[in-house]
Order: sequence, then structure tokens, then C-alpha cells
Amino acid sequence: MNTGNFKKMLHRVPLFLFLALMIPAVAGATGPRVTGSLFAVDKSEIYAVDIVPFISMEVAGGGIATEISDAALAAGEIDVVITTLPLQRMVRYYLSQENAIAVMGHHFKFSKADGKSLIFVPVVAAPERHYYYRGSYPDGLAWKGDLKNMKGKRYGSHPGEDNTAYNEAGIEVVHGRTMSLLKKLKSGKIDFIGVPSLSVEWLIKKYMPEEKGNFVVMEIADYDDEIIYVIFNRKHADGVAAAEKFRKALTKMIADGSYLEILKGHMDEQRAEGYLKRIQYHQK
Amino acid sequence: MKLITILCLIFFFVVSPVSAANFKIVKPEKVGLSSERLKNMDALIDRHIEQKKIAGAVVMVARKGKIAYFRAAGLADVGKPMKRDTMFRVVSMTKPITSTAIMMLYEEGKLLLSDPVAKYIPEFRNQKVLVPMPKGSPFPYRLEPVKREIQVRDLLAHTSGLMYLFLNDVYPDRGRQMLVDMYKEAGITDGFCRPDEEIGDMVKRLARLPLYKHPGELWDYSLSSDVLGYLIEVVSGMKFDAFVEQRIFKPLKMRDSHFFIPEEKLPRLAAVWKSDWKGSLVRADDKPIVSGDLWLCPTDAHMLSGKYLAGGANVISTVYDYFRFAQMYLNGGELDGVRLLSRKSVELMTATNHSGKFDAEFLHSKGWKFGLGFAIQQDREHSVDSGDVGTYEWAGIYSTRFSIDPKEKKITIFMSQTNPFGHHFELWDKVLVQSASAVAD
Repeated sequence: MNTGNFKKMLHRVPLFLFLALMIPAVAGATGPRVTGSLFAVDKSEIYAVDIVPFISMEVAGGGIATEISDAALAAGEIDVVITTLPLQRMVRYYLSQENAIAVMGHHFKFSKADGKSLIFVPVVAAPERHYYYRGSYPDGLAWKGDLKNMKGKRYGSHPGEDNTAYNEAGIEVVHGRTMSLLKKLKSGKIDFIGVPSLSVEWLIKKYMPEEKGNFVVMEIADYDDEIIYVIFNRKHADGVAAAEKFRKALTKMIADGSYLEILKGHMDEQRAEGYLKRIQYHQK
Repeated sequence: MKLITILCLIFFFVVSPVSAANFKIVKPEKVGLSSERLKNMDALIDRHIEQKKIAGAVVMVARKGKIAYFRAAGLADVGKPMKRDTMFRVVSMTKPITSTAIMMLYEEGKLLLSDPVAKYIPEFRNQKVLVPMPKGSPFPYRLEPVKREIQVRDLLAHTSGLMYLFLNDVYPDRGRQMLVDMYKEAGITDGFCRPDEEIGDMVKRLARLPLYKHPGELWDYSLSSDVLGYLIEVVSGMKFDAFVEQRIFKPLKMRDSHFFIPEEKLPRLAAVWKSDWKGSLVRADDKPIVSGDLWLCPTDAHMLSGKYLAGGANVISTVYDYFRFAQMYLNGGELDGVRLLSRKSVELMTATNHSGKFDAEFLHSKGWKFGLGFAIQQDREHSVDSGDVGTYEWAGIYSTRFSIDPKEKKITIFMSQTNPFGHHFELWDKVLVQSASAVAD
């Protein structure tokens, strides 16, 4: 480079500096010095649906089912993390569109075709009860264990729940999260709900302690267990192997008492024993 | 006529008691405003009351730190006249108060505006943006990892990618509709009706839902201020309302500003009126006012206590109290010897480049930018003109608005309680025209 050209360039430096300063700063250009990678998960994720107190960031250990699953994942040396999401549809998205290694929750209502590519491992079996609101039915709401006696009533259900029996009995079904169902029950928008007792007790204690005793368990004639599964994805390269390791680790936890110990951290001993029996039954 | 005017003046300035505030009103000419021209403001408000567009209003114009115009007109409730100390649901005028609290924590070194929100609220980690897929696709949307995390500054400037449900009616599109459905299913509300839960519970659920756009890539008025309210709790270790009351309301002597109204002040709370802007004016009943995805619960302001503390919506206040808040800003962060913010932070908040190329169109249309808590007039080439470049302001959904003009050292505050607010853009703009055109020096 000759001296003349160099001098010309020097003359242009202020112009370049001026132009550089004139470029407007836009919001999109204000990246943080803390990069996203510090916050991003670099492991496979199991996507779980929020179901208090079984899967929830509001509960110690992420909830009963999460704590049990985390322990089984660690024992099985499966290097994944559980991410809790508020909506089932988001969890389904990750399974169907992003080939997640597994999902966790209940009432997924998979098609037969989808079911073939999935491995269901029950983690918690929670007894489900039917409830009505005392203010709406001061004399009680008797059904004698037969849904036909509830014809014309409105039933609160979780999205994805199989409500065939309710529909066939002429019962209107309204969907919502458990908290929303409790509020609807209280306001008389629905007549009864079917949810795990532990969820009802937890929500009433946290959000409406003044309502304790007003949500009444209907006479028990028939009920189901609400089963929370970890559902592994055969289409994921590690899905089948992870399911096998997870199942083995979980079976061992149930046998050696560590499963029961986790339950005891969330409920009294008698109830924990009942939960243990249920999962043993559903494991068969 | 002169006698009537004198009697009115005696009533307003002497007889009419103002229980909570001890304020002085100066002659407009003392602060370079024209009394004669301010009569246009009287006429404007009276005309709207006569036409039954609004039931009543309180309007203030202050300049150089002095109140020069402070008038209550019409009804606050059925059979109850509007008074200067009538209390109002200021709703979104809560947002600048929340922003102030965040900036105080920023000045104390508790957080940086560039901090990812996830640093304090872990649920904001690994956020995704919902991208709608073409109709007929196997799945209606895909979720795209954020290009960068939401920062504290995004929440202040409404560039976070979060949403308000009610704007689904204003800016409808498929992606917004999908997200509104998700918000509803997850129990997320706009906070105009007070949910029976803690603000943190809502924010943690919201953080797990997809974003509407990538942070920094859109200006979209949203629940960002509600997230800031919870962030204040996390960073300060205090409940949000306690922080605001102890650190802002008390030092500024905003004695009639509350998250939950004290029982003895209930008679001073204005009713909400429904107006069709054509002469049908009805006091709203106790039911929620629902219009599309907008839910308003005027009677929630009667709650004496509760759990939900919305950083974007919950404050009840008076024109005089809000004047004290605005004057603190106009003074560069201090009032009556009490400094809440430094002059440099006020300058930062009212700078116009926080929202980048995006205009804050929701209230003002083109030519207005959004700072860290306010919309700011950037030029005088567009339809909404508040008198000066650099004027900053915001409004509330029951028809309240404030405007701070640093160049003219002037504050204008209008408060009514009327629904729907859509009609009021024109009235608010006219109030600001009257205020600006009263400048006479």
C-alpha cells in the first residue's frame, strides 16, 4: 500500500466511525451477556403434565410422581431431566413433533396406532373419588354407584379423560384443570367431579382453606385409580432401553422400600401403604 | 354569570373538602398557563357529561410543580358528585409504579436490566415461541427455542413476547388465538379480575407456556408488568404490595393509593359506567363486564383484601396522588426532598430506543415509542400529539390517563371510570390538546 492510499484511508476513518454510530440500536440487537446456553438443558427431557401434588413445581421434589421418577431415573442411570408443563397439549406436542424420549402424566387418550409406539410404565396409582359441593346439595348427592342416577347432571372432568360412561348415562361433561373444576363445583356450574383425593385436599389447603369440609366425597360404590404413567417413546433411539432400565429400577424401589419412603414424605403412613398396594397391583 | 362563577370557585376551592390531600392551587397565569384557555377544558368535559358519554371526571393540569387546574365534574356514582378526592381504579397506570419499583431495585444493585428473568424466576428457562403452521399441517404449530432469554428490560418495555388475552380482539391472528386458548386452559387471566391465587403461581404457569414472539422482536402490550410484580417479590424478599406501599406510596405521601382499598374509603370509590358514546350511560352492575377475551370486574375494587397483586392493574388512587407520582418523575426522580430514583434512571426510562424499531401503537399509533414503563412521543409528525417530543404517558382501561411533558414542565391527568375504553382515545387526546394549548408563555 503506498503512502497516498494510506493517507486517503486515514481521512475516511472519521466517516466510518460516524456511520457506525449512526446505525440504530434495535431491541433485537440487545443480546444478553449471559448466553442462552447457560440456561438451556443439554439433556434429553421427559415432558410432564402438571398434576398437583403428583407432578408440580409447587411441591417439594417436583411432586410425588416426579420424585419417584427422578429416583428411578437416577438408579437406572438414565441421563434425562423431567420438565413440567402446564398443558397436556404441550406435552403431546413434544412427543409427536419433537420425538421426546418420554412423557409423564395421565389421560393422554392415545390412538391405537400411537399406542403401538409407546411403552407405559405406571408410576403412581392414586385413588379417585367423586365429590360434590355441600352448598349446592345440602342433603347430599346420592348416586348409589350408578351413573344412570346422575342423568341430566354436569360432571367436571380433566381434558383427555375417557368420559364414555358419563356420556352414555346422559351426563353433560365439562372439562378443566382440577382447580378450575373445584371453583366450578363451588359456583354450581357443575354438579360433581371425579379426581384424586390427594389433589382435592392439596388444592383446598393451599387455595381455599375456608372451604375445608365443603367438598364432600360421594358415597363410595365404585371408583377407579388415577394412574400416572411415564410413557416411553419407541421411536426415540434410547426409548426402549430407557423404558427397560426405568421399569427395573422402579420395581426394585417398590421392593426395597424406597418407593414407600418417598410416599411417606407426602402423606401419612397408612395412606402411603395404600398407594404402595395400588402400584403393586397395577404393575402386574 | 360572574356571580355563579365566583360561587363555583368558592365551592371548589374553599367549601369542597379534600379529606386526604393538602394541596394548593395557583392561578394558571402564575405558571404560564392561560385561565381563559383552560375554560376550553371545562367546556370539553361538560359537553361529554351533557351528552352522557361519561358520568363525570376529575382533570388536573399542573405546571412548574404547581397545580393550576383541578376540577371535578359530573357524577362519581348515582346521586354522588365527582370530587377531587374521588378514588379511581387506575388499572394500567399501575404499570409505571411497578416499573419504578424495579428501577429502584436496579439502582440498589439488586438486578440488571440485561439480566435474564430466568436468573430470578427459573420457570422462564428454555422458553419456546409458538410458530403457527400452515392450515392443513399435521400439527397446527411448532415450538421454536427463543433466540435469547427474556430480560428484565423486555418486561419494562413490553418486548418480552408475552401477551394480554384481551388484545386477541384488537390484533387477531392464528398464533395469538392458539396462545389465548393455551392461556385460558392454563388458567392465565389478564388480572383485571382478581384471581384467587398468588401472583407467583400465575407467573410460574405463564413462564411455562410458549411466547407469542421472540423477545425483542415485537412490541406487544402484555402481562409483562405482572411478571415484574412477582420479580419484585423475588428480588426484594417483600410482598409486592408491601414494597410499593413502603418504598413508593409512603415516601411520596400518596395517602390514597392502595392495592386493596381501606373500608373507610369505599364511599370515595367511583362507580364504573357503561357508555355507548351515543347517549346511553348506565352504571355497571356487579357482574363482570365481558367483551370477547376482555374480562373486567369493577366490583373487585371493593375487595378489602386478597391474594393477587397485579403489577399491571391493581392500584386504586386519586388524581392528586398520581400527580405526586408524576411530579416525582418530572423532577428527575425526587419530590419534596425524597428521592426515589436518580435523574439518570429517569432519563434511561424515558429514552425512546428501548423498543427498537417498533412503535407503541396500542394507545398512540405511530410516532410513539415505549420506554421502561411509559409511551413516549418521538416526533410531531403523527396523529396523536401530546404537545411535545419527549412527552411520556400511559392510561388505564376504565378511562384514566396521565401525561408528563418535561419540556413545558407540565403534567396532565384525566380520570373517569367508563367502559368501554375504546371511545375514550379521542377524549383523552382532546384533553391533552386543551392542556397544551393553555400554555401561554
